[in-house]
Amino acid sequence: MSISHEQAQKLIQLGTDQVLNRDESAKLSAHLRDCSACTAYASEIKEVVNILHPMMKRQWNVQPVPLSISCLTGKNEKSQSSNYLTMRTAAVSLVVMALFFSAWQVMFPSSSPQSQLSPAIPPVPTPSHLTAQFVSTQLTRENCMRTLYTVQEHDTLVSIAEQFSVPVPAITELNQLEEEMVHSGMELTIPICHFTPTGTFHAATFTTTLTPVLNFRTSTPGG
Amino acid sequence: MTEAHAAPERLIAECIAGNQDAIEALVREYEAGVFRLALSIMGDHAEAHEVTQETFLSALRALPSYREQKSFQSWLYRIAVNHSRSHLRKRKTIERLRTSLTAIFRLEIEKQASPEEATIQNEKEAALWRSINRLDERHRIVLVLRYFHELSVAEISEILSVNEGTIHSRLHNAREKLRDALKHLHGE
Repeated sequence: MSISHEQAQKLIQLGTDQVLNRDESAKLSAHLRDCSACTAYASEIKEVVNILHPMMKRQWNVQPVPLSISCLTGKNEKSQSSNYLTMRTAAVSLVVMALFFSAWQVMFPSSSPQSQLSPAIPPVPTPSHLTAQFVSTQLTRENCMRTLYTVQEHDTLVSIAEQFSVPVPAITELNQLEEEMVHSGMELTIPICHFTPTGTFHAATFTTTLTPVLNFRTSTPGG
Repeated sequence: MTEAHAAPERLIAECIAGNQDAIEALVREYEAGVFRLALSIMGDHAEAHEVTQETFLSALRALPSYREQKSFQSWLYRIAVNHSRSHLRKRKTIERLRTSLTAIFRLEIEKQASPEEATIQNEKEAALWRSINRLDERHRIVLVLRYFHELSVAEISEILSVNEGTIHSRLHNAREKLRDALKHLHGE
């Protein structure tokens, strides 16, 4: 009795993993004699298998660094290893919390410029207390976000500074500009969360490669 | 990978008794196999090393409960596969988190070059690797155990605690996908 193409292909696949019994083997060879499609199928599967084995060997047949036996038999190793994991997990969660917190700040920027002048540092802001000022110890000039801006025609240093709500000297200093002149096409790094010394704050409405509108502010005592 | 299927009974007994030399002999015998198994599942040397260490820690602790109905290698590999999977799960959680964070901040994460690229020799291999990487974990592990570790379907079934029919069908599906990958290559 002849078998269908599907059955033949199933037997071809099975035959790559184990020896087929006499009956299966006879049925398959009878089918393959007359079926060029299944013969092609068999050779394609064979090709896959022939490539797989040497390719995987080349990739993974490496000699590992021998394990330390004292670590395996000593009791300390386990706790060390789990301590490491715990510390890693804790570090990841801290970063995540910090990022979420910043994201939240981005989404709910404070709308009261007056509060900036207050040197008092309120506790962690809550949605019901949106005027609160976020003071982060991580938000320093060095690690605050910067963005690249390509100077457009008719831009002046003052207009760019206003656009980003940062003082002109902050831009000239960061870009090491010797004179207060910019020309179109010039690339400027803007310290977009540089705080304004006057304490006033303009809503930033810029369009750059960075999408979120960042209104980070920091304060210094007496600033 | 078929060299040592059963650790000598005496060696195991001595390991249980706490004989350091016996433990060392056992570890040295199997550590390369366990490491390669972990590496082939995880694709990362550091994580594979961690999994190898965890596997032997668990195995040495559980040694008194080892019964000889199964080959020692299968028993050990099973522990290694379980540890690898738990690492993969952790990695997935972290990656998911990272993806959502990068989506929020529109940041570009530096893409690490796939370690496989170094050993790819031709277009066909590249196509197969891509296809292997797209397979889900269950299919990928079966394929790796079959073609890298050269284990039989019966052994794979023992390691994964899945019946042989399922292993056959996973191998079938995986090979079919890889065959498609090569066919597409020829077609283009």
